[in-house]
Amino acid sequence: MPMSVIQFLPSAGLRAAAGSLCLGLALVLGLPAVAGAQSDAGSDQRFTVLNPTGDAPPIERKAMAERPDSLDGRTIYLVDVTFNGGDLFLQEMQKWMAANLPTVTAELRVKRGAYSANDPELWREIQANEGLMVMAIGH
Amino acid sequence: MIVDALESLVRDKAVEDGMPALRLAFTPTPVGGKTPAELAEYIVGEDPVTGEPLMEEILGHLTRPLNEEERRTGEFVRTKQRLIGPDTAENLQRYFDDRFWTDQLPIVMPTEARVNAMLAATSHPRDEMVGRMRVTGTREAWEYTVETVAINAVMAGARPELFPAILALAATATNARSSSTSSMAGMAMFNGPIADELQLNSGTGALGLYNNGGALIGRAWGLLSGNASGGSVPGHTYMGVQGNPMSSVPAVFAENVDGLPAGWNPLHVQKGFEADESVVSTFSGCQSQNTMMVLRDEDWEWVLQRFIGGLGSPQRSSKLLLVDPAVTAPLLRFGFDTKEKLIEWIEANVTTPKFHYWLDQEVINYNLGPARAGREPYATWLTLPDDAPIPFLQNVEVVVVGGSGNIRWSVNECGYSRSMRVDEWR
Repeated sequence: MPMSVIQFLPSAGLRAAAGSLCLGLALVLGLPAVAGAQSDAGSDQRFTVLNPTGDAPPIERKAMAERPDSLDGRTIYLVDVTFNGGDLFLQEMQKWMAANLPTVTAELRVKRGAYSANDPELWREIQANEGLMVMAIGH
Repeated sequence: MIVDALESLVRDKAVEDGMPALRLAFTPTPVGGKTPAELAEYIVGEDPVTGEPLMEEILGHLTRPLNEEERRTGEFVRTKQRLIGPDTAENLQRYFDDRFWTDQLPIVMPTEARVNAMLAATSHPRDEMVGRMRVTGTREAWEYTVETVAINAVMAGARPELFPAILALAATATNARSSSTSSMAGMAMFNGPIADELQLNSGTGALGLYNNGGALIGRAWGLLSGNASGGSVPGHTYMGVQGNPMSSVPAVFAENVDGLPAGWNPLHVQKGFEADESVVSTFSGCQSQNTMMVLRDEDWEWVLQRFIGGLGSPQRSSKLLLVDPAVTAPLLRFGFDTKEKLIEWIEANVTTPKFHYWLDQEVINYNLGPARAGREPYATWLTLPDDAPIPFLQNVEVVVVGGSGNIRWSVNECGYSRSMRVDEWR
């Protein structure tokens, strides 16, 4: 007999959220029997068990920044977060932009603090200049 | 932009942060260690995830108008179903294994009756929140209740008399299965009457599985760490590049208080608790353990500096000295008549030259940004001459453990996290 469950899957559910406000994922699974030693194994006894996972916090959706029609005259901030060669990668991207996007200014910047730290000063500067941002983290 | 090996992780993170449609582009893995010429090839190449020319894709991300999904705001809530089944133990085991809710070993089925029996070992209500835990520092915090802890304790095979100790460990909110790519694990140590009450091991094999109570508490902590924090799914919520054998069943042991020399306080007293209180202390960031023999009078300073200083990146400022009672006599002879004096000496004298410190990739990744932002001591260290010694250890702890079968002791790359009273969870 197949087992019927409704269960949130952390990884698959998070992906599903990209297209939906609802992260609950309904699955109807027919699970094959497996051999192996375990304390409750070896009989046809059926169990109802409790879900061992914690409780996920609610997620507050944020609208993304509006995009310009054109990049002409714009400044693109290439933001390095000081991790595993991201600076060298963005330097190469800056060279590519200089050679291929003559109407664009490519500004290489290093975010203040550790890679996960906020840098509101930099965000304010980019916003004030109506700039765009490409952030890269090396790995 | 990020490397393609982290695609699943970064998409999960975008969802957690409220922008599930965040526009992403990927490079091949790795970026670190590549030359500028090799990275320039990445730039003119294709995104390995989408197959699109990379720069064309990025420019599209910057200019393509937002769609309805990308403008969406509001809150959404993720729910779980409390009960699963009914089905056979074999099918449920497979169901749990497939979701990485287990340590891939057989579990005891967490039925309502078994969970209720576990809950009867504490006065705390089943729906009381015990803590919040993250898979790693940059991910979202999930909450877990007394019932969630009990479910994982049952799965581990723990007996109800262990439950207050497991709850206290859970209340530290220390994750024993950190998702760091560095493949880190956790350890826990008990002090006070609880160590004898639960017959926890402080002697031969203390850090191993040669103790039923410690093994069961450790397994419960490992399972809880995966399940209560948002998961432990490789590629999503577990990213350790090689994994860590200590993260499946973390070491849980007791300090060998009978082996403490006069003047050396047990760890929980060092942390401000009374000697007769039962306390669990957690350590995190554990990556490796290295042993050596007893120190000799002629060159102990050189050996200590080399042994402790050579273990891992100087970015890792924590070390845990696991001192067997058999090797404390020379330490006393060298003047360390308290743990604090030994810690002070190590933190002052274990150094690395400034030139090499700032070339270490982990130091660059984690400390260069704060140094540039003016955070001390990194900002000052950045200005020193190349040969200046950097005393990079800032969180050293000493505990006494072991069975004295040899004049051997060890250093582990663990950092102290938190201590919690056990009796508060009875």
